Amino acid sequence: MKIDVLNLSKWYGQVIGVNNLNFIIEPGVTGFLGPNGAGKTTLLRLLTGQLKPSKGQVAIDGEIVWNNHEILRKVGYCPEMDAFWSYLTGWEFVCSTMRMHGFTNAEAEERSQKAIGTMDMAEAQHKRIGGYSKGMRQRIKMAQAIAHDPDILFLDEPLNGMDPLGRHTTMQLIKQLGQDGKTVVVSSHVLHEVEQMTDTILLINHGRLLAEGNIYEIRRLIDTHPLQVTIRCDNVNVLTAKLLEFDDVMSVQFDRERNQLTVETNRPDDFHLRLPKIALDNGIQIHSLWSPDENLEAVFDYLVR
Amino acid sequence: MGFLVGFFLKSGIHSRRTIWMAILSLIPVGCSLILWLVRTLLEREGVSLVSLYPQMSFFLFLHFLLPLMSVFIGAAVIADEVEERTLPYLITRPLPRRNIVLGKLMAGTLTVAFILFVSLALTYTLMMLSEGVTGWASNLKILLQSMGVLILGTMVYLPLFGLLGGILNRPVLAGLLFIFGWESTVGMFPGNAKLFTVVHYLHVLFPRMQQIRLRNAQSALLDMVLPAKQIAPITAILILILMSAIFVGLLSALLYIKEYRLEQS
Repeated sequence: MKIDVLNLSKWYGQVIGVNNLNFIIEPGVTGFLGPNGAGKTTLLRLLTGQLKPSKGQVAIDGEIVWNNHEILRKVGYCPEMDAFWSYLTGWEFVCSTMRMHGFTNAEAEERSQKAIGTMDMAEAQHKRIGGYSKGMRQRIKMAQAIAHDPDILFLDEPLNGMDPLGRHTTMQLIKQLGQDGKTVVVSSHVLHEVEQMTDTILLINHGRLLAEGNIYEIRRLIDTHPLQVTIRCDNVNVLTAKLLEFDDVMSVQFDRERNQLTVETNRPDDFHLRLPKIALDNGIQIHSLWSPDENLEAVFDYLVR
Repeated sequence: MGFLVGFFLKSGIHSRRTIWMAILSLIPVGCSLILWLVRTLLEREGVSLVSLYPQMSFFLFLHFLLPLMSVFIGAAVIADEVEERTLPYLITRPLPRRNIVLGKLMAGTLTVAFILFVSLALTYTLMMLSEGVTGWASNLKILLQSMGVLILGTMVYLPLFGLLGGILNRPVLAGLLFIFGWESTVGMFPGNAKLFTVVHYLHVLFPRMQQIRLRNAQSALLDMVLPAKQIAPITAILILILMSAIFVGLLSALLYIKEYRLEQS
């Protein structure tokens, strides 16, 4: 199923939510990538008919979405908001949403059972959602989105708060659904998450579409922007000396008190490949590694500059 | 639709608001209990609790509990789902939005009617049993009639306050102003102004109104100068049903037209 977005704008008084978007989403997985507040959630709400476009239109398989409840039969939606009827158990929640979809009690139960199993929630299904961890709540939200086997899935930050195993399971599921010919739209503000699920992304910031297409092209754009990596290890001096031998390392700042150094590199992929070898060869134990620049806001600022 | 009503009913039962309303509904029961105890302990056999019952049900149920419960439960019909941020689960389903509204209103009506019925039945029993089982059984018609009026009132007030809840930021305040301001004040005006209140049509149907109406010379005089149009019970029922249908229709239309901007977590 295809999603057509034509001249789509949404504004709230003077505030622009999304601004003149034009794109087509084909079957497979598509990632909406953008920092927090970029307009991804507003866009997903427009695509699911929760909001009326101020201008332009959204169509699924040629049918306008706004005020068209029949088209929602083919749609699954996992909202970003951590909100539930918390007195319900996970099972009751998924089952109820299936009944709202028009399934009989027996059908709803069968579908709920399957979806809950897929999301690895069978053990906790009869506990109240109010007592679930954030990761479990995310998984039960996913279960209600997939239980009716929709052709189109809109997932708003589905991996937020999930444990590593849950993230892996969910990412595999999303990829599988895309391979099965479903149209899956996933929003995220974390680049490497989206990278693991799809090659096709839409870069959104301040309600505008910055770039659209293959993730590698966008990756290349991002890679030209020097990346900062902060490493905490047991031998700051040796690691600094070794890293400075490479020409892609533009600068190193270190903090001996915290045993950490911040490296600026203009070839992040080479850097990431090289680092484990340096650590292994020199007996350096790396405690943690993170990249403040992976915060998309910084990358977007760089891209739009 | 049956599933939706059940779902919203369950949702309502778990609401703190409903629990507070149920507690509030014990006020008339407490009052009757006190009256009964006073009458028994002080051996005031001359005080007839049976004759007090119409006034009691009129003021405490028709003019206090019914509108108050309708304001609190009605204003939450849509507002609750918005505040709890659960509305997306409902409006991203292949459900006509009028079904969501009707389901919520029917569940709300059942909740209010049940609470009122329990309270009214207990009040009735305490007051009527003061004169023996015969009095209790022979006046059952009054109980059923007043319950019918209260249900009709709920059917009008709930969608009305639901509508306010969908439009206004402070629907409870507006609702309270409406019931204790407009309904009470205009209802006392002579002439036909009271035709613009809901409670006037409920008065027409309420049992033993002639016993309840407290008239003084001034109001009798004003009524003579500006006589109010007399309404037949069947007309009152039809008008109340029409009002209910209009408010339900407007509330459904609101859910189609209005977008709800939910705060992100």
